[in-house]
Amino acid sequence: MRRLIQIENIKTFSSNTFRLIISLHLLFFVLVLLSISRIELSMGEFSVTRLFEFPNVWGFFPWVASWFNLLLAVLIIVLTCNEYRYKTFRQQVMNGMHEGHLTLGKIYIILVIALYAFLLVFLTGLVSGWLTGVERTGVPDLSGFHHVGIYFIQTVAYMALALFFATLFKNNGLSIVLFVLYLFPGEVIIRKLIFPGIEAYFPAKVIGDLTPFPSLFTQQMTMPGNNLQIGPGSSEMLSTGAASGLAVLYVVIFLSLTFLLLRRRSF
Amino acid sequence: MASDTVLKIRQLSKQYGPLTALDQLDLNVGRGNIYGLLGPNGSGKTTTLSIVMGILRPTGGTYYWFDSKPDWRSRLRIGSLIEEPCFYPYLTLYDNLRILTRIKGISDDHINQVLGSTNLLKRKYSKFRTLSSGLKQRLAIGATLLGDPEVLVLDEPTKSLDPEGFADLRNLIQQESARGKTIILASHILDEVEKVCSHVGILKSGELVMEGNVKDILSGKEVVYITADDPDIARKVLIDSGLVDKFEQEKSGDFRILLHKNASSSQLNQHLLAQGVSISRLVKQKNTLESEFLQLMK
Repeated sequence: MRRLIQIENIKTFSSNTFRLIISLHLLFFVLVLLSISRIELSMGEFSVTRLFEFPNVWGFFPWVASWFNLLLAVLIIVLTCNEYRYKTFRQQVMNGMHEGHLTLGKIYIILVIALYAFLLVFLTGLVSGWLTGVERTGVPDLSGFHHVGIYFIQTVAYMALALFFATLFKNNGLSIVLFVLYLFPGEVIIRKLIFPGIEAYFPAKVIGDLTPFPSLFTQQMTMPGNNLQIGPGSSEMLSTGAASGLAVLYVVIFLSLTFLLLRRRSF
Repeated sequence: MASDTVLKIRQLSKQYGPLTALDQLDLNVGRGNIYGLLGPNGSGKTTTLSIVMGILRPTGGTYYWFDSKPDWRSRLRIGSLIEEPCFYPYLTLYDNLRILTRIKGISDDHINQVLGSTNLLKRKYSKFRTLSSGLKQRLAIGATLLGDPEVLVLDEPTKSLDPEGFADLRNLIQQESARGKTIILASHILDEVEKVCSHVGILKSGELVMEGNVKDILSGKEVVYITADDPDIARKVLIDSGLVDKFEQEKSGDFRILLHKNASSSQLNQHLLAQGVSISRLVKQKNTLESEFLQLMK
């Protein structure tokens, strides 16, 4: 396993694609947070500033970070499809690697990227909470911190789905287009038209719902006299625990399918 | 005790839709052999090597490396280059070879040795994509030696090599063979194969049409070309002569005759004269792998 990690480190961290996409992810996330923080909006007890305070920050930051999961998924697609493009997967199999090793290598990279995203949300949340908190006790309020943990599961799940698409289609452009089409119109159409009764259990829906619209927003927007309906109330949603469990199950399914594809198909 | 057979292929088949790339192929490669796999384009050489290296799934049949069912552990004992050098273009030569040392479970100390033997030590920290195609091929050939594998599988290794690289490759094959390695070599260059290979297998349309020791295939056999005044009589006499392995009439009307191992051109000449066959020309030629190959491909 140590050698497998070293191999993935050599090939991934030297990749310009990896550096570029991670830099863009970091930049977009921070820029969007800074932009939102400059909005001066207050509705009753709600104000934008409160989203940056403890404990609201633990729900708000993962929600914002989830907008950029697509970038991380694209990164996994590019890294995997490049293995086919450069024929390095086939060379590594010839050199003595098992298809299971190839899958494990990519799982390791998914976990590393998810850990980076988790730490990004955690550290920026911590800094934000400390900087904007009214009462600066020096001890962060970690209530609601589980949202950051669930965000970690969400990033892993998106990247596992992306890995499956990349292994299935082997081509960067095709995999990215079909992945995006599946996430946005594709699964929605399947859910609504074919399986309306069980739409809450579909992968993109389950994974997407892991980081819901922050409760501070939704409480305000569903108050008497405010007709705006946004967030969890607008469609069927599983409980956080059930959704997290199901997302983990989907991760296992996507990774198993990836392994089976590698095992059964020629390189 | 180690078996004498390194690779056994049994009833191996590969279909691409309606196209049969390999048709129930049986083949054996003995330990220490330099085995040349020959055949025209599309005969199934690369398909065979790709299957035995685990990157192409067969439609039927099986194969055994070192008397075991194929798995990734057996591939650790093999160095292979199939079709083209496959490395990460954005990594340096050193980093690309570091990946290989990790796979093989060997120390990075071997990297300099390989780069030195391929005259690429000065380019150690160059990105792979900056190499010319000839240098990429040299690197790929050198990389097959990492981990001191028992077997080398080389598919068209002379591709992109200049004459110097060609000679270096021949030396390398002979050196590695002298060290007891088994080498499987797919090539179009019959002259080279004849110079270095101890055994050959000739594929045609996915079937093995000839297999054996190069010396046995070529030794003692003479090829004779004759121009007979009456080809019909000459044909009958050749069939009944007992001196001929096989013969054929070329478009010009001349006969190309492969003599039996113990027969000679002078014996044939005497026999033809004794049978009243008048010949205006007799040319004697040493049998080559190329002439055998070309005959088989007809």
